This record gives sequence, structure tokens and C-alpha cells, in this order.
Amino acid sequence: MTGDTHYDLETLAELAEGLLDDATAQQVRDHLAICDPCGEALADLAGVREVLAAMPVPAMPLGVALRVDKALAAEAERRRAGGPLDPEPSFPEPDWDRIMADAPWETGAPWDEPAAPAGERVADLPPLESPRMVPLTAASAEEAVPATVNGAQRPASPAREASADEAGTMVPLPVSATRLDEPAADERPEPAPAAASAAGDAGAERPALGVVAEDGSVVRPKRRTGSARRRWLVSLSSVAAAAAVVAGGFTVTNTVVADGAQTERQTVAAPSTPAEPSQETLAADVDEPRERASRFVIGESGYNYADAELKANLVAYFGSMPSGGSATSDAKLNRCISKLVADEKRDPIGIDRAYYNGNEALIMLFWHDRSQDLVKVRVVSPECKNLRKPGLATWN
Amino acid sequence: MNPQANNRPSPAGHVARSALSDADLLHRHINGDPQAFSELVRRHRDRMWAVALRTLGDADEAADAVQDAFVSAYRKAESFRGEAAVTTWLHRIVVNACLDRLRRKAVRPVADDELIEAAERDTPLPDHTGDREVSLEVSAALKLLPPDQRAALVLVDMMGYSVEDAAAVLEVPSGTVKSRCARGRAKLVPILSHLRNRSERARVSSAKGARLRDG
Repeated sequence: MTGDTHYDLETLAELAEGLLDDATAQQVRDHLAICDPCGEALADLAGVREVLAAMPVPAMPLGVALRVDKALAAEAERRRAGGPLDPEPSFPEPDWDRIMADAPWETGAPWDEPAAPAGERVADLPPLESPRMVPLTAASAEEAVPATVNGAQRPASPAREASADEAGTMVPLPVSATRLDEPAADERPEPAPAAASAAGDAGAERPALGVVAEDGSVVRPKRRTGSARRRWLVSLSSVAAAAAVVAGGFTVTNTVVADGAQTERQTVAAPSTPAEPSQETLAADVDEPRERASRFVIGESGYNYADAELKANLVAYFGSMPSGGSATSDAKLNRCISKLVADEKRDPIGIDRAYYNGNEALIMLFWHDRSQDLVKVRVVSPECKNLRKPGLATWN
Repeated sequence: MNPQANNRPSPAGHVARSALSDADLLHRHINGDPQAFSELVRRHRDRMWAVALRTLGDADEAADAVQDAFVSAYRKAESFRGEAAVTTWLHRIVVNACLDRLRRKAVRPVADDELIEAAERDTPLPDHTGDREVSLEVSAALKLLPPDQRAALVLVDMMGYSVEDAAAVLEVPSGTVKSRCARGRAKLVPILSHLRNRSERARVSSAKGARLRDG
């Protein structure tokens, strides 16, 4: 045989790796002995290995090293604060103090919490700046504290009833496990089986909002698909948060808010069944009872964002919040949101489940510099990986 | 012996971390030593960076991947069971973080012509010869390989790990690593030679070009 036919590079590369069976290998070798082009091709393959091996090994740039250190320091902080080493099964603790810092009824004094300090972590943090705050009336503010403390024990508290009447659709949801974030440890409500089962019935009809349990599970509503209307999801992670919302007469008070005057306003006031935490976790929770609640309003516009839009004014996309919505029970989503919040060390001013250049994406906005109207835009995949370099945009 | 032990006296009963093995450090981390993981990171970050940068071909992506990987390793430390070396485990986390990113990316051209066109687009014509140029060529060429092949070549050909070590990192049989390497190299030959020829045509007036031309 002459050089009329040649072996392809892949076969030659397989020969070099010893991947061919003996008979084939022998055939190829016989051919190589008489075929210059194939011999050159084999040499080219060896050359590729050399070129690859000669590539310098770069050191990690200082900026990247610092970034990694910072991310790990944040992890360490979370761990010190009592979070488990592996937070996968749980919802990373939100910062209740920060979330409530702007609440009109929050005087700065802790609730009836025992001397447990808020913790250095909280003290360091600037107050939450929320772009749209809906002030509460004095009356609702007055009700807020009792409702927060006792709401779960008193399913028929006036605040809740009023809210329920007003909204007409409020559905108390059962919680499978409760986060240990009640305002005070000694006031942790007992399980309320009757209320829970009633709630369960109602919840089955319309589980609009969910409570994120310790294990990240939430009552999952049916996703409406194909609706062009923006949907807003409220993810609640604590009884305390739920009660506060109720007391506030549905004026959601942080992040991107606003409650439209239409249908389907819903919230949760969940009777709680304390989970069975390990002693360790319990102790940590008693120390920082209020840090763990959080809720973010999540839009689900389905809009396909492009870079141009994510660099310009975003108020039109994120500023209006229609009413209605349903809960996210998506533990993965919640973890991702928490991760970004931890990354950015501040609460988001807007969250939208949408698309970025045709890819499913979670868009989260954070204030970068409010005085300059600068918003930091994070775009991540459903797996919570950056789809786009974090960038800046403007709000108005 | 250990310079750090002299310069900075450790608290009683506290062995200088730099003297500890990777496995000891990981163990300490799991048991709450707040510095142990940082020491692990310091030891291995350059290699992890090299792997991520080579695999992803993009510094920003690599930075994200390495950060995610280290945070993930920090959290999952308890899942390390000591069956493999800590470095293997760390490499695995980094490589998987990179592969996740690659696999999520948009479609990749498949035909050889398209591969080469894409590589041309990615590689600006050089105005001088040098390592940087070769580096760009290789980087552009690698990007055109399927993620699995790319990862295998990065570990074996670029990082110089044994096929067995690479197989442990990638959690596939050795034969699979060899096969991915073989196919990857076979794809790289035409891409690299095309890029090289193009570069050489571009500097045909340079001394080196003249020398090459004249044989």
C-alpha cells in the first residue's frame, strides 16, 4: 500500500495513546513506515502536545486571589454566625435586623428580646435602603409587634382578620418545618394542629405564598405559564416575616415593593411547628433570633433582557410591581438569591426571573451608589452562575 | 525547619499551619479552625487558577469558576472522605465548576471550517512573535474543543498530570481520558497549524519569516 489512502489524525492520535487494538495498530504502523504524510501528521500530533506543555502556568492574579479570600471570609462569617458548614439543605440566614431596619415601626429598640445582642455582624451593616417603601399607618404599626410575636398563636388576631377581609384571599399555609426565628425564644408558639389543618385545606386551594422552611422547602404553587402579565412572587422565610406582613395590611415594606390594587393579594400567616434542630443550631438561633427572616419580592416577567437594557434605566422593568403572584418554593432559587445577597452584602432592590440573551436567568439589582442612581446588575443562570459580568446600570 | 514557626510564635499547642498536610488542614477546617482553609487556598490557588483559565479560556469566567469552586469546597469539606488526595478533590471541584460553565454556553461550531474561522475571529493577527501570541493561539484553539476533551488536555498535556491522576479528577476511566486527549489533539492539529501559518504569512517580512520561507 502506498500513500493513496491515509489515516486520519484521530486514528493516529489513538495509536499514539495505545488505544487501537493490536491488529489495527499493526496496520497503521505498517502504513506509517511507508507514508510520509501520515508520518508528518503523527509528528504534528506530538507537536501539539509540546505546544500545550510549553504553555506557561500563570499565577492567580492578585485581584482574583483577593476576591476568593473575600468570598471565603463571607463564608467564614456565615459559619461563625451559626450557619452549618454545608448550607445546602438549609436556607442561609437572612438578616432580619437589616430587613426591618427601615420599617416605620422599628424604633431601633429590639423587640421584647432578652439581652441577646444583635451581634457584631448586624452592627456593621448599613441600614437597608429600599427604593420604594410603603409607610404603614400608625394603627397598623401598633399592631405590628403583637401580631409578630403572637400572630402564629392567635390565628384570629385582629390584624390578621382585617387583612384577610381586605384581601379576601389570604391563605394561611401550613409549614412543614419552621425556622427558629421567632422574635423571642420563650415565645415560640406551640404547634397549632387545628389551625394548621385548616390552613392546609385553604392552602390546597390557593397556595399563593410559601414559607421557606429550614430545609428550603416551601409550599409550591402551580406555575402559571404563558402569561404575559408580570407575576410577582413573594418568598417568605419566617413566621415573623409573615406576621409582619399581615400586620402591615399588605403593604410590603422592603425591597421593591408596592401592592397593586388588584386581585390576588395574598400573604402567609403560618402556624408554626418548630423544627427539630440540633442543639447546636438551636443555640445559635437563640442568640440571633431575628437574623434569619427574609423575604424578597420576586418578579417573573419572562422578559428577554439584552445587555443594552441592563446598562440603562431599569426602573421601568423593576419599578412597578403588579399585584398578585404566587410563592416560590424553589429552594434552589432561594439559595441562589441568598448567595447573591451574601455576595453583595446588601439586599436586592429588584429580582426578576426572566431571560438574558435567550437564556433563563435570574436578574438581581442592588444599589451600587444610590446618590448617583447607580444600580449593580447581577445576571445568573438557574444554577446561580454568572451569565454576565456584574455590571452597573441606572435606576431612573 | 519551618521559617514561619520562628518568625511568628504560635499559640501553645498550635502547630504552624504551613507544616500541616492538606488532609490535616481540611480536617482542622471541618473542626472549626478559621485559618485552615485559607492555608489550603494559598497552597493550591495558582494551580487551580491555571486549570480554570486553561479550561475556560477567559479570565473573568475563570475567576468566577475558581471562586465558586473554593466556596463550594469550603462548604463541602465534610464530604471529603480521604479516599483521594485533597488536591485531586480540589481539582475535581474546580474542573466541574468550569465544565458546568462550558456546558451551559451556547452552541459551538462543529465543522472544521467553522472551527478555524472561529479561531481566526478569536485570534487577532499578531504584530510580533512571541509567547503571548502562541498562548493566544492555543487558547483560541482550545476553546473550540468540546468541554470534555478540553478538560482532559488541560490536565494531561498542559498541567502535566498523569492519565491516572486526570482520570481520578474527572472521575472517568483512564481509557476515557486517553481517548479524549487523542481526539482533542487530533482536532487541535489543523486549527493550530492554520493559525500558525496565518501568523507566519502576516510576518513574512520579518527576519524569522524570511528564514522560514527560505527553509
